[in-house]
Amino acid sequence: MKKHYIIFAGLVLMGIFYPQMFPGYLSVAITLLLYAGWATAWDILGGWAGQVSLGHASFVGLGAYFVAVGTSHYEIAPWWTVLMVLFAASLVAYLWGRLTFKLKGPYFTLSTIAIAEIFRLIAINEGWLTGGATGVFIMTLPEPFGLDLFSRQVNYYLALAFAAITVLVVMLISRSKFGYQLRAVREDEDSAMASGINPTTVKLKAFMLSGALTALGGGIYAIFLSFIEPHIIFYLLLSVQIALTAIIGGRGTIWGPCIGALLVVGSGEIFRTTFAEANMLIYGLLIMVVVIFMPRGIVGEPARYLIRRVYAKRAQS
Amino acid sequence: MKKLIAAASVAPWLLAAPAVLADIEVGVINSLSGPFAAFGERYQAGMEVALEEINEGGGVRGEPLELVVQDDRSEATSALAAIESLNRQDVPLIMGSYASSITGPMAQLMTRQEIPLIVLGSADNSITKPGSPWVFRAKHNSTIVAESYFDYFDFLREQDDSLETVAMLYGNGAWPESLAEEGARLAEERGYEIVGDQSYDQGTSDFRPILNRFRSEEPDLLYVVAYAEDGVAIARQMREVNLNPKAVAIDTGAALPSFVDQVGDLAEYVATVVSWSKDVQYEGVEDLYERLKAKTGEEPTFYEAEGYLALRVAADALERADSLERSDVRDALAETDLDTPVTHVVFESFDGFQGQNPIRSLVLQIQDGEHVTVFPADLAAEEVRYPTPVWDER
Repeated sequence: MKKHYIIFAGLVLMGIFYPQMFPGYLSVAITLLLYAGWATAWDILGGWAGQVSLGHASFVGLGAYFVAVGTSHYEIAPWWTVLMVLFAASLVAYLWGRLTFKLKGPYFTLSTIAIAEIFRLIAINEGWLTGGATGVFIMTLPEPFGLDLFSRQVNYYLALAFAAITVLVVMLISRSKFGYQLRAVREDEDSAMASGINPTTVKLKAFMLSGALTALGGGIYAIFLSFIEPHIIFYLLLSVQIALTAIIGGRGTIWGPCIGALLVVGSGEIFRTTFAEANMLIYGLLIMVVVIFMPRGIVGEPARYLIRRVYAKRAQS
Repeated sequence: MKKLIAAASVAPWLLAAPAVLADIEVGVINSLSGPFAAFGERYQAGMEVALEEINEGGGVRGEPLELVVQDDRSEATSALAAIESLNRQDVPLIMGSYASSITGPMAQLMTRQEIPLIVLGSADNSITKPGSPWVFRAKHNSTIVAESYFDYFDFLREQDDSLETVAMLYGNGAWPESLAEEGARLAEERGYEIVGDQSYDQGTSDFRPILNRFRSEEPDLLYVVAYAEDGVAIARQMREVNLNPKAVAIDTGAALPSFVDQVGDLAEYVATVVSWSKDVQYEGVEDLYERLKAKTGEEPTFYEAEGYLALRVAADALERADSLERSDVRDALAETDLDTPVTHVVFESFDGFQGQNPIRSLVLQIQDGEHVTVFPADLAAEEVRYPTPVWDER
């Protein structure tokens, strides 16, 4: 476990100096960090608790809309709206989970798509609340301590902080009692129940944490884009991208979602500039290769191999 | 794993290799892959035709012009990364992109970084209202398009003063919603009664319940804003439910040649607003039409024309600018006064807009399977056919 903290500290340190080293590559880095954070947050529910959600764009949208509508319609500073959305997203996740955690496996996943669709339709049709289908511009933001929140550097450090917080949360969870409860529920709900764990409570906690963290990233995303449209931000595609990032990297691992983000966003950017129109094709092939040859993800597969070897050695001695 | 990290940390250095500046380079951010690629390709073809024309005419400032094209994968985040990439190459201006969800964030970032932006495809009002001193749009916006429709309705009302009621049907996307909003405002302003106002979730295929409800209201005018397949379904189902307005306008969906192919005879009499048509009475239109057609091998549309227009505007500003510094290019753009076979271009501030060309949009009517310019009268190629006969008599 100690080595995870060392890697974490090293990466954060690298992250802090990145803008000085590559000042012209901040947009890609911000996107990458946001996806790393979202995928890690998704993985708390999708990987550690084993409940695959395809509705996480709702939380991104919730965070983005709180921040955007808060500043442009009500002149509430983003740090207050972010606090509000942490609470709101937890509440939404609680109600959402209450409603759907009775469903198992693919049925839960299907229900998340349905509920996410409800959020999308609300965002599009309730113009008085959200600004409607034409979207919301963020024209001005307050400047705390003289910081221009629109500047790429500030966006970058916000995204870095977001990614670091989510990873840290997962690291803390992985060795906590709660983390073991999550894994127990994931492997076998009935056995978990037999050993005194209430699966619904555990899953609800995971969903609330996952949703709140995703919404936090959504708020930063809104500032980064400074213009959001409901069709894009509540879209199923975004939910799938978040889930895919975590799955490719390795579900239920600490670093898997981050590696997934590096691969998905990084390769997307490199292919975009080098392969022109064929970039989506190559991107798709890459995903297929990973899914076929590393079904547990890029981190999941070698981790499983290592663990098996350790057990094999123990059995021999 | 170590290799992956090493590769990832080296990759940006490789990409950062300085580009050799010989020609004058113009940045383009366009949707060449992803859901908007079909439109992006049309814009690209238009820009290429303009590029050939400019370079055959001696280029810009005596140097050949070159396009540095970056794909935005139909995503805003990729477009923002592309801006950074083009910024490193020191392009004097950037043109882009098709969707407002991409162009909006681009306009915001480029205003802050002080890079001139010529809008390629996005027609959303919010891009130039309030706009910024760095953002220029030679094509139309929601307000201009909605006004064109109502000018056309007024023109019909001069012939037939019984035109009073209008029914509106539109998708719930950004563009249809904003056209509907403007339509509702104009209807009230100009004394039309709105007897139906219905939005639908994009991708709906059965419009009969809505159209049936409209039929009971007997609207004189039908104002529809729908993308391709939706527009086709609406046109077909109007006949099925026997809805008989005196004039029908279908925005976006009815503007493409494929609409006539798919809807057939039922497309007759439908009107639609575009920024350019092959039969508009501007100088050089036929020549442009031939060149666009030769480039794409199919019937050119206003998309290609708008791509062509954007690059012509860019080249004109670069030619006139005091230097290729961005602020000089911006000043030159602001003073644009250019005649092209697509339209006349000046950038003005009016009604809350900034850097917007008050373009005269055209109303086309489908007559005998062809899109024909019928309004405004001085640009029209044919007389408008009015009223639309009832279905039983067609």
